[in-house]
Amino acid sequence: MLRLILMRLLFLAPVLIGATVIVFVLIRLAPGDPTQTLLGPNATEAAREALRSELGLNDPLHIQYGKWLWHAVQGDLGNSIEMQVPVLGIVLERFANTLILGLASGFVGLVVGISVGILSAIWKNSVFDRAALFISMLGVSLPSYWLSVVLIYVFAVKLGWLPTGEMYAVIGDRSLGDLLVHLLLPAGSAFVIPAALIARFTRTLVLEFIGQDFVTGLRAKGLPEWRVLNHVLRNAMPQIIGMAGVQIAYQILGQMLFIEVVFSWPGIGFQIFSAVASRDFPVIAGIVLLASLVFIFVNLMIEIVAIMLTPRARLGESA
Amino acid sequence: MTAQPATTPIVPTERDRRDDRVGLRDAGRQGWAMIRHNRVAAGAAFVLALVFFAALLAPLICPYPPNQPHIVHRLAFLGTPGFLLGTDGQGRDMLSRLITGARTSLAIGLVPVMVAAILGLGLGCTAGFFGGIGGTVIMRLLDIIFGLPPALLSILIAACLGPGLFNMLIAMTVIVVPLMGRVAHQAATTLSKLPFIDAARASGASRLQILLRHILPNALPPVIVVGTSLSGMMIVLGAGLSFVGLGIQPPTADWGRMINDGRSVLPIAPHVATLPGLAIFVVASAFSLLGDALRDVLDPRSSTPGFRA
Amino acid sequence: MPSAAEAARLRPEAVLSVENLRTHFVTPGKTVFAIDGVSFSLAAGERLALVGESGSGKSVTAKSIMRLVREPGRIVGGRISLRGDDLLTMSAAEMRRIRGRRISMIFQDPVSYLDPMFTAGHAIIEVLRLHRSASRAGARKQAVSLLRELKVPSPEDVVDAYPFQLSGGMCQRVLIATAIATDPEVLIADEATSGLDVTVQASILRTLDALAEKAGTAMLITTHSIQVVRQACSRTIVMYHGRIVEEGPTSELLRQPLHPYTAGLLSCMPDSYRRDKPISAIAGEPPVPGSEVQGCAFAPRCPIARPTCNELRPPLAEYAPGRRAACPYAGDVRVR
Repeated sequence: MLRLILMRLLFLAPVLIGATVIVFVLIRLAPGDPTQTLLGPNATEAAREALRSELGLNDPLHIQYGKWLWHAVQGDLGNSIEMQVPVLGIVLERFANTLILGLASGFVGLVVGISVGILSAIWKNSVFDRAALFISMLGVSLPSYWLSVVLIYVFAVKLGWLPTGEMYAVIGDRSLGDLLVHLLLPAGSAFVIPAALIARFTRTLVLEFIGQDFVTGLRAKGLPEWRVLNHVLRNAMPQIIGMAGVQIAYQILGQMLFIEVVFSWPGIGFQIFSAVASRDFPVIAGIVLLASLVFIFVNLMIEIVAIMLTPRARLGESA
Repeated sequence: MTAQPATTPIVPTERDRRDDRVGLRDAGRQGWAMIRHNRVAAGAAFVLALVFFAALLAPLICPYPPNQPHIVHRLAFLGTPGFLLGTDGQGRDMLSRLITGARTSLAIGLVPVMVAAILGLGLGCTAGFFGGIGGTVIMRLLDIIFGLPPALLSILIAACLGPGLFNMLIAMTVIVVPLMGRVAHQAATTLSKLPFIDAARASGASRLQILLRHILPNALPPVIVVGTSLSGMMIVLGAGLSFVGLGIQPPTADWGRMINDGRSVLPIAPHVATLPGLAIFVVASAFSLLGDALRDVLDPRSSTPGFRA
Repeated sequence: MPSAAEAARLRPEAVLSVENLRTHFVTPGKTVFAIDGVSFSLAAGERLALVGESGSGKSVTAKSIMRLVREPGRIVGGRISLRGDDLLTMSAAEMRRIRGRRISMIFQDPVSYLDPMFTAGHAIIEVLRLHRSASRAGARKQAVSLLRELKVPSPEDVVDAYPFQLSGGMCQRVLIATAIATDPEVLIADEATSGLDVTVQASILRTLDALAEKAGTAMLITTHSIQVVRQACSRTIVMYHGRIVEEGPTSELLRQPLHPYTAGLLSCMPDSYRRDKPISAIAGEPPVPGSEVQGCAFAPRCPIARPTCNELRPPLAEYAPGRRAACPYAGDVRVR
């Protein structure tokens, strides 16, 4: 099994390197001259040249890449053009905030999704099932940013029950309760799509496993239905976790951008938005790099967990 | 106790050759039959056709030019005489803007997917059929792009290339190509192992001919299925990018952009932000429902890889 | 002559008696009559074979007795009595207490009947903890000794192994252990040896044999193989198209079949004891499984059919004590 993990890691190396190359190339492709921003439009050409040499912009491309990567690996991602502080610090702090929101939505999505999926499978073709299926089908196409706007209008503007954004109240003690209140609407917008996907997947999987021979065997032993269901879920778990884990990772790194912008939630999504607006490329690069790294490793972790839960994969073929 | 031995003909007969094109022609036939029988799919197809023609005929059917402001009637609500769906903050007619916005949305939904489908089919089928080092390299390269979070990557690309519809289309095509490539690759590898490929080779077809005549058409159905669902997701993603200011620039009417415009007037005129979002939702759902129905028909046991941007 | 149903009820030592069992599969627009009036009884320690080809209804019969028929299948009529307890009228909860404890079942393709996520030992332990309230340690010890009794090598290792790590024969023994752990009154083996190598098959059958002798477990063995019947079963029932066509002691039935179908079946089957016997085929095709048929289901293919055979369904009549056939012209047919 260790070998499996090692092989997966090996597999990932080119992906990681490729990610850094892609980010680097794209950043360099961006139009605009940093010297304009840093020195202003009235600087002399000589001063610009001097700055360019200093910034290493005249070196051949692969040297620039090497230098950049070398610094990045040590945690130095340069300084934000706009704020003149190290990129890594900003990004890490914001990342934690995004994680809070992402994991909260992911958790809700998982719980709702699995529950609905299981109930749908047990009550196959009932009214509940049909309604759930239809809602799921629509749910996957839901623009989360639109749902955010609708929820804000209903709960924050019209009813005034919940705040319109931010992580904490401006004046306040930053307590957990305050956080939870502020989490409600954003998480409420973000959980829908993963919940819909997980529900459909769970339903299909549970139905598939219930139809298998070993379930007949279990019933022949006289097991009560809830224990049979237990067995079925145990069989479905590795795949559900795999799928749900990937979905949640996608959500955190996909939907979050838009939702954070709507709610002014201080996470990497919001950060990237303002960085794009101010053409702060070190920050953009830093965020994408870090996010990709996390993304790739989370995928790996999920794969490993799924393997560990499946005896056949864990122990390999034998007998 | 009569045995019916199944023998695969070594030399393909004319019937076999006709059956090889199961991919394309049968797909069309089955698709049409499915639409006739499955009400949900029929509804979805109808909605899409409606939107498509509205977008096509936009200049003819819009009651007003979409960017024309009517300051006097700013923020008119639904049903105001003369402005069926109200107006936005600058007094522009919502109905006209929605119809015009359909053009960009459909473009965003369809163009990247179609281009990516062609590229993905080409790359994936070649890699899957010929295999070898070249095939592995191609797929690994695609995997590298696939390994990055798609929405973030599209933002990065769009940001670096600059604003505008064209750059956004490029960004979105790039993130879709790996998925299409994988679907095509999976189909091609499965197809390559089927007996009728050997039969075709035995009757003297060159590898290129087999690729073009047998592999590509038969890899098409799963690509169509995935592509249809993907179009819906692309519309949502593309509108999202415009929403945060990356794609379409004002004053062009675009559904995503319109939602953002509506945020500032949300308390007094919720329809400005709500209607475009509803449009996105409806069209994306239609694509998704159609894709699901197509999957039941064309690719029933698929476990095609997918992603959520 | 008493009807089969009456006769079944009259046998005093019957552990299990089935009367006029009917199971249908109902889908909109179509009803499949899987079994259509099956009656027989099973005595303690007896090994009864249920022989038939695919579609004859033998598996459905076995599953119906356990009330394990899946939707859209439904038991629509009849009476199944286990030492006096009516299995068809009891509640689902009561039936669950019977399954695995008083009646057990083993299946074809044993590897797929074990939960792949749990060890083989777990399957046995689960039954013991459910029906016998055994402790975990105690159940494990019992599992090991059960496997040892069934001549499984290194039972300690097998208990900790997963189904995919075990061979088909081994898995079947695990299933048997699960089935006999509670010392049931009836054991149903549904094609339990199909798909296994002949040598493994023989050893499994010997194991079942020993069980019947020792514990007095009544056994119902469904199969399509004459070898199995000859090796393992003292009495045989032949099914065709959801109905019983013949019944009798195995040796007599094989030597002198009464029903034309049985005769035809025996002519078809390769017989390792009689190499010189030519194999012939029964003319025609069997009717679509579960379709409604008027008169005798076998008539279209029967070499001795008369016009009346297509009109009236021949009853299962007793030609001699314990010897029944559903053909008024039984005895006119000869095994080629």
